Amino acid sequence: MCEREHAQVEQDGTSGCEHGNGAGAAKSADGQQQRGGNEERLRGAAERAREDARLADPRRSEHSRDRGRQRARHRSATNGCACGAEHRERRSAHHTTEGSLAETMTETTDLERTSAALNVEGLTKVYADGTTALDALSLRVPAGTFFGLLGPNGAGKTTLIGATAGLVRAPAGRIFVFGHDAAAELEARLLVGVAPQEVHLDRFLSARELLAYHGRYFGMAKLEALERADELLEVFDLTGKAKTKPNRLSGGMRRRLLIARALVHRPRLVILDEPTAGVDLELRYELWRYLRRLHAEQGVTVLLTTHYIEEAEALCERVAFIRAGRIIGEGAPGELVTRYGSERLEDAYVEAMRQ
Amino acid sequence: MSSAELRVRQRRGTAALAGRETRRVLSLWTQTILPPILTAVLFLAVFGGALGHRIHHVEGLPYLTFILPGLLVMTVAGQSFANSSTSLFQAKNEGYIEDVLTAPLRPGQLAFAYLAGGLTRGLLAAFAVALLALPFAGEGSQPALAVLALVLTGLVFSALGVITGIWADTFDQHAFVANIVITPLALVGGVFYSARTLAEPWATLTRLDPLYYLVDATRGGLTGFHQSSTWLALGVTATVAAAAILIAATLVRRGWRLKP
Repeated sequence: MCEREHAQVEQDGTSGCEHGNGAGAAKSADGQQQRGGNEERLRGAAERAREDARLADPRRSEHSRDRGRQRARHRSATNGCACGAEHRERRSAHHTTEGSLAETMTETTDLERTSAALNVEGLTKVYADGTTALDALSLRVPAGTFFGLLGPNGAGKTTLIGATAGLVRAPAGRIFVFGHDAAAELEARLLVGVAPQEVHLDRFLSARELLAYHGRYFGMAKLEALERADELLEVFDLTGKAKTKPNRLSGGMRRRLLIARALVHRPRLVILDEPTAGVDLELRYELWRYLRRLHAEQGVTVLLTTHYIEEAEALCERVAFIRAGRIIGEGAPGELVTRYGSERLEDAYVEAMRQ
Repeated sequence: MSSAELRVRQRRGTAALAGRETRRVLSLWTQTILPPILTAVLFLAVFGGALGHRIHHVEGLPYLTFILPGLLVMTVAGQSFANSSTSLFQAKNEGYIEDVLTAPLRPGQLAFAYLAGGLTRGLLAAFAVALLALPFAGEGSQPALAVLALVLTGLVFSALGVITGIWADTFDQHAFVANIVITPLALVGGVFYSARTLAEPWATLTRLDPLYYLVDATRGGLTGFHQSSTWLALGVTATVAAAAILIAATLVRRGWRLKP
């Protein structure tokens, strides 16, 4: 047997034996199950829409974001952050002097001013075909924020994410993740979780194994990784599919599994590359709900790229516009609206792209 | 995080990836372990049953005893190469390699993990063939030497598999190396004949084939008969293995054909 056939057979082996002929039926079964689940979801849709509206309320959002920031700061203090000794010293002083909450808030606010989850300095990437994907791009994503990156296709969003996660070769410039040089320090990889735009999942592993192996690739002990996998399967409503291989999951389930995978190793910066591209409205709202919970309850910094302006408006505290590999505007949505003399973020975006 | 803690995490990650590769080999045993066993059994049946009575002895050894070490080397080489190259090629082709590339593993650790899968498959298949062929084996003078030669064979060809998996962007490229490089190397490596019986230029061609020395060393370990300096052959092979592993790790570090 030639190697080509061999490779094909090995490839088809799993898809053939386990997914091949049965894939359509399985998908259909999944579809039915999903439709069954959909009824329940649809019943809750109105309620969730209300919840979305409530969460989108600036006052409510600000409250939950504050909680998120507090948790982020707490994580920084407990996990050991970029500022290292200085922070530990402060923490120690804080504990020994029984500082008040107000003092704590003052300290961490100072810290927040000087810290960034992601700091990109003059990043340039020219692909082999001569395409300039990033052109001396600089960007700062404050720790604990829900940050949106908006731009058209080919603007450089995915390249920026790839460079941050180590998926792009030798870009010029520097990237710091919580103070760690992303190119030089492998430790930076532990701090980042990426859910890429395209759904690529290891088809040799079940959903549970896939999450657990990801955790183990990032250095988690086997038992810890399995427990974390179970926890995330539950959070993303995939417990019933724990033993199912990705090829047999519906598109929405695969998308959720992909986001869950990015979270297994408990990253402090989660990067989601167009997580809602091509998904139906219901799943989009569902993902929004997950993302809000992730940010508000765990204080994780989220960097989200999207084409949907309403998504950025609903989720993001700060937004950057990217075009032709450069950041052309950055600020809170309200600031951007004012800066571009618009009434809505969408108008500001259009205006920014036009300039 | 201290550097010691990072190293612990990296070791765990490497073990996990190597475990994933081994698991793939075992879960696909009908495609990874069974075919080489069947192939070896057919070789033994054809050369032992159909032709064996016409070729009584080669270099003083029964023909089956003479070819068995070469069959083991062929099995390890072919299977080690196929596993590393196919697994890496699939991961790259289907995009899920990004899961591994974003992990905090060193390039050498990544290469090692893929190499471990290839080595496991090659040695498992060779072990199964050896069990089946035990009745035909000679009285091994230095079985440890044979095992060492087989492990080195596995390392060299797993590393070549990793390099091929990284290089290949299409099934055609992937198949090219296996069909044009690996198969001819195996066939002219002195598995089925003694190099001394060949006329020129075939004798020289055989001696230029690195597999010839591995076959000879394995044969020396299993039967006591060898034509070249065994330790020199093993030394050269170990050097080639180290160079191939280094090249594989360097390619992973540079992200050549793995990252845009």
